[in-house]
Amino acid sequence: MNSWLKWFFTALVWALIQVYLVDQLNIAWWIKPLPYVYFIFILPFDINKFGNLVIAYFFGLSIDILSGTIGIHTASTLVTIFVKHFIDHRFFNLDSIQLQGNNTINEQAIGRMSYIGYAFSIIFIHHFLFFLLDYFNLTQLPLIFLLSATSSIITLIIVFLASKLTRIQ
Amino acid sequence: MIVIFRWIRNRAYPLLFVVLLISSLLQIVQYNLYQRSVFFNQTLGFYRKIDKEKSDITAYFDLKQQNEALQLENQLLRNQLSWNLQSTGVFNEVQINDSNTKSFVRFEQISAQVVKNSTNRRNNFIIIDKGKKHGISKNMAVVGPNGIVGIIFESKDNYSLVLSVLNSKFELTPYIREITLNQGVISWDGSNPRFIDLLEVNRFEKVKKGMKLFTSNYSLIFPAGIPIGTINDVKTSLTSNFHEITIQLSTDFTRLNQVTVIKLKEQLELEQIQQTIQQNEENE
Repeated sequence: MNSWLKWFFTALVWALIQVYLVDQLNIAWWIKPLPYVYFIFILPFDINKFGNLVIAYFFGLSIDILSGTIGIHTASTLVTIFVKHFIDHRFFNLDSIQLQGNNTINEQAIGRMSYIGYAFSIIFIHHFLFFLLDYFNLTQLPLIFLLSATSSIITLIIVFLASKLTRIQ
Repeated sequence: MIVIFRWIRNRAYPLLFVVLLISSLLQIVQYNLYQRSVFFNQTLGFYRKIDKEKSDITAYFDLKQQNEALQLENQLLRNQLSWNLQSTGVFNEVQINDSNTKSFVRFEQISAQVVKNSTNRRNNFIIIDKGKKHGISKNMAVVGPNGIVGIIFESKDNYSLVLSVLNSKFELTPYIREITLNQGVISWDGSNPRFIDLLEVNRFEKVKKGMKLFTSNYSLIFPAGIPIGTINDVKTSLTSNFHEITIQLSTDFTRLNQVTVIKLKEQLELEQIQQTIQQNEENE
């Protein structure tokens, strides 16, 4: 019960940071980071995979309701978590990572460079889907690629800093 | 039956994923205005295409009957022509009433404060703190201190939703005073909120950098002469019939605060007239 409450509040905090802080900062028109993806990274991989999907669905939906983009965050978060589940089980030896005492795939478990590559590809998939659904126009694909790439880099930096901060704590 | 259950049980995870994904995609199409219009326009276009192909084929079958009907109609019209020539019609002189023309286009102005504004999405909306109580209704023009801002999209009692210029649904024909050009459509491509594109201007028009754009008198919503922006860049390619023009907006949407809603007094009449045009087009 306690751990569910903890997850609920973590999700809420990231949703609020996204909607009331990051969305309000106009850094540049080509940078629109979505750092709430970090929540996907801190979900443990030994969690029930059905529960995983349902959590992603309601997490995305709550951000959608707060920011008035019904369905867009939900769909992109859902696909991202599905892809992440696939990548985790296909490319990593989860048993050995678990034996090392980790229940998420993090920098300590797989090394810095491979973690950056892993995190960037998942973040990029999420951002690309988000901008694709927001622009909803295939003729603007180059612009969508540019936005996803620049925003993913900024999100990656935020995710990296956030993981460092939680490690210090 | 057992086989089906076993199949579902073995594939429960991807099935749950697909169900949730379909539900979120349905939400996107249902609740997001822009995505909804794109989706339904495309499906409608597909059905229209099929209908057109069908009518192109079936049109050959009754050509004979149609010829006969046309011949009959021609005969009737010829008869009417000779009858018409014989009559001596006197035209009634149309009286032009001065008071009518004078009171025609008049605007009322309502100032409002911006409550919420975004520039970082593909389709941006603005919320202002005046609504139906203050006489604001759909399709009124919204202008800022420097130039155009948008169009009232929906109004509630105390607040209104404004369709920003930075929205793919916003389209307007500008007027360039130097070359008296009333052509093209301005629309935002979703990238930089300081710049907007002017499309469909013939490449033989002498458009130059630095020319100023204003609202034209063809608009049923905006009064003529409100600044839109300045031409920032003109590109002409031999393969295209149109210029590629970039315009720097005169309104800075990231710093929008005070706006004015412009109410055209005869808007209802104009809308009714426009509706009759649309109905005619649909009937054809």
